Amino acid sequence: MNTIIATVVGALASTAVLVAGVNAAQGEHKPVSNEKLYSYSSQ
Amino acid sequence: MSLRRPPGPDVATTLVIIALMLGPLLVGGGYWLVGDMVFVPHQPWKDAWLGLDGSLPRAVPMDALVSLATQVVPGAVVQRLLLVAGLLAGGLGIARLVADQRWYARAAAITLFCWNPWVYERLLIGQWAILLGYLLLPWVARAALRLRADPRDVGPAAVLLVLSAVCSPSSGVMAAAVLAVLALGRDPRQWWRVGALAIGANLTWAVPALTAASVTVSTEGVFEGFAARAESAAGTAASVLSLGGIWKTSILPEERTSVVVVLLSCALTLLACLGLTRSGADGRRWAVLGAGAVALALVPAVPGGSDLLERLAGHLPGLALLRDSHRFLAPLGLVLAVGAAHAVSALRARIGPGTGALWSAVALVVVAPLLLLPSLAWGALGELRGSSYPQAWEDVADLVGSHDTTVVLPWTGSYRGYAWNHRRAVLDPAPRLLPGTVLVDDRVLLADRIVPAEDPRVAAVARALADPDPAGALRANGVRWVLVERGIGKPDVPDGRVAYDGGGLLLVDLAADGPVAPGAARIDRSHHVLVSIGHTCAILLLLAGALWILRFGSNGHHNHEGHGV
Repeated sequence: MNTIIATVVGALASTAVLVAGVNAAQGEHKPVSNEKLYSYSSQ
Repeated sequence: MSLRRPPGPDVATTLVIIALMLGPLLVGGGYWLVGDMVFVPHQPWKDAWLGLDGSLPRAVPMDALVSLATQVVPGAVVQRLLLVAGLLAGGLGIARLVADQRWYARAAAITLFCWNPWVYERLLIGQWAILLGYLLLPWVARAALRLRADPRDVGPAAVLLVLSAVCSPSSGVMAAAVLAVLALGRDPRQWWRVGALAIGANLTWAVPALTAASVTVSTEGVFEGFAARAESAAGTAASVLSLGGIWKTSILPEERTSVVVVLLSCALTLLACLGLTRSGADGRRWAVLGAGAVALALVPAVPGGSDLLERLAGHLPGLALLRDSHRFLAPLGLVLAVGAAHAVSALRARIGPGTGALWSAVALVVVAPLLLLPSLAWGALGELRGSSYPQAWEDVADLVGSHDTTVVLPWTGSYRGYAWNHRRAVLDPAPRLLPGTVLVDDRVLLADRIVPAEDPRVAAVARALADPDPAGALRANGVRWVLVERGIGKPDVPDGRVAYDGGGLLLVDLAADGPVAPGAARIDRSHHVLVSIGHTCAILLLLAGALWILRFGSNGHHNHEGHGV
């Protein structure tokens, strides 16, 4: 039982770390573009 | 089981969260200036901070408190104190709400409550006061449970409702809703009691809003413009159920665009919901609170929802408060945090011989909010960076008198991307930094529509700027100064004497070329009296509640064991 639990928990944790971590690391700083400078837009 | 557990682990967990989230602000200098989050070194006192000038009370009376605080300490310190104190209150509050749980269950509640997409999105959009209101919700819930257990125990509820209303109108409304759902029963006297508390506490912003006769709020298209959005291919509902889905997609953390992350976050939500079923007699009330928050956030996003709200808002002006209804998702964070604590306790209860590995599941639930949203760490991984105002801003503020009116150019929206602020979009700081009346173009420019200005003075300035003689037209409208913020467009500058030019700012004195008409008195005495009565009621309620707590202690005079409070 412990093996199954550890496997499931490990899989969930590693998936979260990998997917969220890699995505977060790929995020770029987003300075305001000239055309959107004054805009409260969703973009 | 003792309800009084040592707060050490709760304090430690909360401090770790604060250090991880606000680290760069705490160890570095300057301000975090982003979106609506504007702090200035010294915010001069104005009647507008209390809604006495007839303008729409967007930050009444929080601006008044910040202005008073910056008379004592610089705005940078005030910003740090507010954010740290807010998170500390939130972490310790949610821990107190589940005080009958073990420390790791409380830690799970703290991490989920303080570290989730709603917190990230509101912080990145700069709505720090609404965030503070959210962080007060556990205390509001605790006060509500006490009030239900003992109808005479009104002191904490009064204090918490006033503090929430001080944060923002929507925070005051949310606090009242939480109090109502958790405190009301079949006793009609309790309904009157809660109703009176809710109204009395919210008078501080409601009276200025209701008596601001010269200001109109447009609702045309705003419900759709501010509706919750899908962050990933998992859809809007999945985003909202996992506490995300803000309309402003430009501030989304990258990981929230991943289906896997959103679905894993939904799994955490599901686990917390399962935990709620173990929360005893209050489980149904928590469920109602959470479901109500989700429904409110989703209404504008469902087909026909925004049109319906728009039509209703034509008859019920107060409904405009719901235009960014995603903010009302906040109580779901509170509900899920309570559920997470009970879920962890349930996991712990299943640990026995052969299932020791369940401890890893307990640990995973505790840290899952951080693993699923790493972008919130360390100033949103650099999205929030410290900035310092160029000296020119304070120089200009010294030249403008407290009775002068200043117009800020470029006249294109009120958000700016200064080079000294890393070109992050931020609300123009001039109205808070300069004394007197400062007018900026307060139209809200959305991607596909423009929400018109709410202040008639702004419309008058727009007409004056389009006049063949803008300087003369501005003087006729009582405007003495024109402040041009350089580097963000090239506006036509009205003729006048250049009083200051440097540091990215140009200050033009229109009075040098002709007399400036006296500013029209906007508000009559009765408005002043009404607004003052509103503030006085809230202050009296706050003082009465505080005195009650001082007299009977923070735990009241009755035992509330059934609610873990």
